[in-house]
Amino acid sequence: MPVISFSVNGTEERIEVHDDVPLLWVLRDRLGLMGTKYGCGVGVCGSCTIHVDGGAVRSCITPAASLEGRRVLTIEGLGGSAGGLHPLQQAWLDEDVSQCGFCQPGQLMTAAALLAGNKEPSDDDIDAAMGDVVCRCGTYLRIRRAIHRAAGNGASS
Amino acid sequence: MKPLDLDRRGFLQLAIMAGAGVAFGASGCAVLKPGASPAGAVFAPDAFLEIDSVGQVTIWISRQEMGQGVRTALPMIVAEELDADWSAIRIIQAPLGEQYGAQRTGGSLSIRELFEPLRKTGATARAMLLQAGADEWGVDVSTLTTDNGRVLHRESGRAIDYGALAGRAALLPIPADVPLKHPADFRIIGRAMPRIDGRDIVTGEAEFGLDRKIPGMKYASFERCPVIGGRLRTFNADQALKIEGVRAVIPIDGTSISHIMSWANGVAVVADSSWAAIKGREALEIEWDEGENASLNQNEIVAALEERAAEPGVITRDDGDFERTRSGADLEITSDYIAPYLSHSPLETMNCTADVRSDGCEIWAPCQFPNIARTLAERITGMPSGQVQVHISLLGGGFGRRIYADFVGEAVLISKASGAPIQLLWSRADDTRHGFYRPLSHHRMTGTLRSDGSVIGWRHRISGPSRDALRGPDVETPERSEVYAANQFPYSVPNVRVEFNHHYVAIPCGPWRAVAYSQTGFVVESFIDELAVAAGIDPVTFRMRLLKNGQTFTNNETVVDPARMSRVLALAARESEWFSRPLARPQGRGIAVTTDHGACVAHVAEVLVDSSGGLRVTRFVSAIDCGMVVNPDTVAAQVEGSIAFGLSATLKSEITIERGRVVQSSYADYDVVRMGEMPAVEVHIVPSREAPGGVGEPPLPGVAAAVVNAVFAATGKRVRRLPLRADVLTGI
Repeated sequence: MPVISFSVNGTEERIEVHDDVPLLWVLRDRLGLMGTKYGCGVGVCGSCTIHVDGGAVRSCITPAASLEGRRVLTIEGLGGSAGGLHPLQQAWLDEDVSQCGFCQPGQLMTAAALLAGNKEPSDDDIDAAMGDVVCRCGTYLRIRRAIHRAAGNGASS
Repeated sequence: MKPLDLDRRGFLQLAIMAGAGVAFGASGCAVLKPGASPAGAVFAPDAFLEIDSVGQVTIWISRQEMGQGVRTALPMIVAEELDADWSAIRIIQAPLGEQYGAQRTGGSLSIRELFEPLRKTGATARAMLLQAGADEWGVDVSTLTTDNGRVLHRESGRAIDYGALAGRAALLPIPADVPLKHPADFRIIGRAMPRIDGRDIVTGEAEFGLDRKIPGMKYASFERCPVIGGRLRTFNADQALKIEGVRAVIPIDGTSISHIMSWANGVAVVADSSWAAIKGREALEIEWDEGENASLNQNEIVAALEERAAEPGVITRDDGDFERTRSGADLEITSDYIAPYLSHSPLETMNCTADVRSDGCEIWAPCQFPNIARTLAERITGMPSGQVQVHISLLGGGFGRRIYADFVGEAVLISKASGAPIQLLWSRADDTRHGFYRPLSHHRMTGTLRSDGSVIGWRHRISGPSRDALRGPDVETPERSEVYAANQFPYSVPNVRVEFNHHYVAIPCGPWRAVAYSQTGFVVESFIDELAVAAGIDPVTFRMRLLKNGQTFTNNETVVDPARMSRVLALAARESEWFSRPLARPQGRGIAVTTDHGACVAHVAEVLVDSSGGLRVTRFVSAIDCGMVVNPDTVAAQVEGSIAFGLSATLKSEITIERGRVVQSSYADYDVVRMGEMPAVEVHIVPSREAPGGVGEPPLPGVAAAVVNAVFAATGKRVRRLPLRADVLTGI
């Protein structure tokens, strides 16, 4: 089995993985990072979205073996190491976004990647970036408001 | 007066056992271990409430949280009457236990059933804390009051925290019939409160079903026959067992256990990791006996329903004489509507963690009805009640799918057979293809009118499968689960007939958000619109006239109050500027008003249809009267969410059957609305001091009708079959 070294939320990890095991299951079963969710396993719902080198990636269809030397960020690391909240997480609370909450880690990680590259996204920018992240409870309007709120609070800085 | 007795000691014991539950703090503090952490004496007047000596207030949540906000609203009710400091509130998700009363979560019932009991819990505790304060200070209890977690002595200005009185209060007799607050004095109920465990959600700390890990746990994946009702003939596990991490391959048959386990037949792969279980399952070689349903096809089912619609059905409501109106009418209109099979498709697929040991069985599951889960586990293990424990995590969506606990039964079977604690994961395809669907239904609607626009006759003939026919075609009253919403036709029409033609189809069906109201709301509110158009009367005015002389009646435990419906109708019309700001084509506005689960809702939808038939739903203006509101922000969220859920059903989602198999497998082909498709939503809540009504379901049934009525206004095209396909609107 190949051994890969990569960082997860700032911690260096060195683990043996099968060639084809998706990062999602390495995060959940091996590293105990349960915030990244299994929603579909085929990359169509976005609940498993994490960052690889700052970009939003669907961990359920990303082989862990492809991540040698890469930098992975999950919802557990979004707020930084001091236990604080990312401005988006705070905005999510301020807008009381969550219903069942299951998709929200994926929504947040997708939104965080958007803001990292676009400091003041328009509604259309947000809809385009978030359009493939499914929320069955229908929290979309609040997510959009929360992204605007966080952008206004300097989330991208 | 009830003295301190064994019951209360018994409760304290139970409260300690409940420590396995997970607690969340209003201010986002860490997990609470009840029974372990309280400092000093603990005051626990009943199973739902505990106050410790440092003033921490712990409230047990006896209903499951699936996004409808019970974890926040139920504590608000206790905190209100208790005059608690909201920041001192902690919650624990109660495991299944007799002391919590009914724990099934469905029917938009949680607040309706617990509003009064939890007010009494809070008020009783407050009365005892007041008495404890009086005893502490040696003053008369009538000179004391409470505020924000403290007992106050007005004359002297003294104040003491509840925590400091907990020990004394715990020794007092429990008073009966403590008066409740007047709603005018509410300071928490009726206030928009943020979700109590919101921080856990946004940080990824919140525990859903799959997030449970127990020592020695293995991972399981279960292959079922793709044909509904098919059974395992033979299998070869050689390749699967070669996958590294695969520990066992086990044939499973749960079909004799219960009707809701009727499809639990197949092969389970048990492995060291989720991925090994998934890979092992893919490597299975299985030969199925596909059974008699392998020839079942969508077109033939629909054709059969259309054929049945020509025949009179079982009559379930019969006011006046509908047939006689047909000869006396100036106009008769008949339209056929079809609503498709629908899957719930919550984001969290079905899953369960089960540990069957020789001395007991423990289950962790996101389920709406944990009592059903326990009953199944008892049957499978043969263990008596008390040896099966059920813990409930957050539910990553429910919508009625998690009422059935088939996935719990499967997990218990697999744990029992493998002799290990296991976590069963359903894939998205499993979840899409092995559900309990909203049944396909055909509705033949006939209305008779006079030339003055008055409606003299209404006939609603439903043809289709029945949710009650889960065991097979030989169900005694298949109409029962399908007609109660149609029977509830609320408008004042002298001759009303409702009929049902049962057509058995072996596709398992079950409750889907708002259940029968979901199809009926679409059909009735669309056809009423057709009659309004035929009568040449504005759709709001037409409905108002038909509600004006209506009688209040009770149906399916719902009070149908035409006056209340009129009020939400008028509010939605006013707020949408229905009369004052008409929309011109290609824009259009449509309205629908419905009542169910103790609430009335009116939706106005606005749409824009471009020249190529592209449809955009641009705005919803919604009015809801759900009685007294505990958390108005949750009410708004449930209306927004119902609009999203209803729009998916209106515009995108459909389950179809080919060769006995569900065709769809994920959100790629069972599509749901996305962010860019959400209309702007305005929610108007009718102020009320009536008893609380439901909120999770009532905003759903009118959504589709409001949209198709708006599409008619925009295009002149009447949509009678869902989902509304883009090609229906091309060429207009």
